[in-house]
Amino acid sequence: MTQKKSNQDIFRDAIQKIEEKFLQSKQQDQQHSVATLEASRNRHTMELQFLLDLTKEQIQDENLNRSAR
Amino acid sequence: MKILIVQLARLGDIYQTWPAVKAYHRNHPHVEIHYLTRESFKDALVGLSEVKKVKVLSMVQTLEPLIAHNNLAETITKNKNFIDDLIKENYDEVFNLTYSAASASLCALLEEFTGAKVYGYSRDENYYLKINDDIAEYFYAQVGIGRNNRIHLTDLFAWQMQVNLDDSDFDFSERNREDLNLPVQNATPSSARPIAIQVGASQKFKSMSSSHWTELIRQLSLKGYENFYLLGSSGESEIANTICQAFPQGVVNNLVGKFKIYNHFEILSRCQMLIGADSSMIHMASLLNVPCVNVSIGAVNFWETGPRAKNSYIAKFLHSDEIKIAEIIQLVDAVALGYEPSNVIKSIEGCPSYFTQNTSKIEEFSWDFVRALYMEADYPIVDDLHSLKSFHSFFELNKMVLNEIEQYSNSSGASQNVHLDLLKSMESTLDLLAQKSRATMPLWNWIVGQRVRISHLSGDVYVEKLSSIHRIAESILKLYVMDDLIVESSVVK
Repeated sequence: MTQKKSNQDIFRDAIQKIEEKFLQSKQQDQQHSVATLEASRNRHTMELQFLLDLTKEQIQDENLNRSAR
Repeated sequence: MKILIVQLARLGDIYQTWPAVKAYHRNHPHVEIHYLTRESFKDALVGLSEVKKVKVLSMVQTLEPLIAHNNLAETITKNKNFIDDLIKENYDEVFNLTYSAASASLCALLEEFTGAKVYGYSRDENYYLKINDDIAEYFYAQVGIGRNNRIHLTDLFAWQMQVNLDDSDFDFSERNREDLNLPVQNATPSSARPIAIQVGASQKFKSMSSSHWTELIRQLSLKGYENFYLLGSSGESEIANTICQAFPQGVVNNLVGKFKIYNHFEILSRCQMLIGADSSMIHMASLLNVPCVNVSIGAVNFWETGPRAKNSYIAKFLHSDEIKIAEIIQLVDAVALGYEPSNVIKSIEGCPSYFTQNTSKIEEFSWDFVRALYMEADYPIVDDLHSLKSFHSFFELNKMVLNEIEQYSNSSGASQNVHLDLLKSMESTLDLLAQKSRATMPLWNWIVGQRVRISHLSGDVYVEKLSSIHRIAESILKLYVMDDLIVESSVVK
């Protein structure tokens, strides 16, 4: 029987997808940094971290049964 | 010059920043102020005329492609567009008043790609939290539920913005209010100034149940009080309807869900007082100087988020089962009749704290300790054996930490890793000790705050700074464990 996903599950899935992308981007930065000896932080990775943090906060709010959207 | 204020928290947090924004504008009238908030809470900025532009973060819009259509790329693009818009503004300074992970990440972007000076939380090049100043460090270490801070958030926000508050910053009385288009001119059915009641709060545990409210209104009516306004958002209609059903028509005016949040300035300004939980309207009443009886339930720190209006009182209950209606009524009488009962928690005009005799000795000690750590007050005297024993354990562990830091500095390779592991386990023990003893908690939290402050450093510089932090802690701990005062564990038992 197919059950409807809860809000928590939906946000958990979203977090997982964003986190994968963030870690991938961070790893690329590190590889680039090792190759060029330049600073490792780039804007795309930082934007992904912001998105990841926001989505994590969203699920905390969902858990507290509060809406912060 | 242009600045951005970042407040991604809720309605009450936004209203608590109003005095800081007003004070900032008073001190810097030519600076253009922008304010970033979430879509859901942007109405809490209506009426704050000092803000020239409100920037809005919409999580619904950003996450909708990913959640509804499994389209991560589109979500990433929307997020990028939102950040692009902020970066284009080229802010000179950013005041992060949110103290959250997401706000730190956003401010790191603004810091990195516009050169803006960020006050509050940001992130370093390794994506770790970066604390930029003393107020943010104090917030990180000492502010929040279960901590020992007693300075109101309103003042902390102002200090984070490098300004001090005066009375005019709390004045949102009629002459300073825009016309907020409130259609309630005829809503007052009798000559008595109404008593406003906010029936809900952002979390259910923070507020009283409908049966408690009904009983309170019933008893107040018996004492001759009349004309009650029920206030709240549409989500609180059910509780309001239940209360109304208990009374004949006309006793209670149900205004729940009928107005925008900013319309409540006009409603509250007509009321003699507000009774409510720790929630947005308490902070709106503070801006109108309308006295409050704040029913503060459970894990809520009234010191940080209580009412600021003159003659406001706080009825503190640890759990909803412990609510005493008679105690609330006594405070309503105190506001209405202008007398001051004994053993109460009362707001002090112009002061970022409260007067009370209802706190325990250990709570007083911990707050005095915080004052000594950050505000140059004298270190308090400890007079209970449990706390003395905790200080003694803390002193011994701290000595071991200092020793391990030294060993770490003098070693290399695998041996260094061993010392690092030992250091980590000692710090975990110190953390556990601090959680178990309220007396040592402020000092441990201070160490944690100091450590985050230096986390962007590395190598010998970091180790030297870490050692310096623990040496300062040692000098403080010596005040509590002088040789002739060391209590043997057998005595403590």
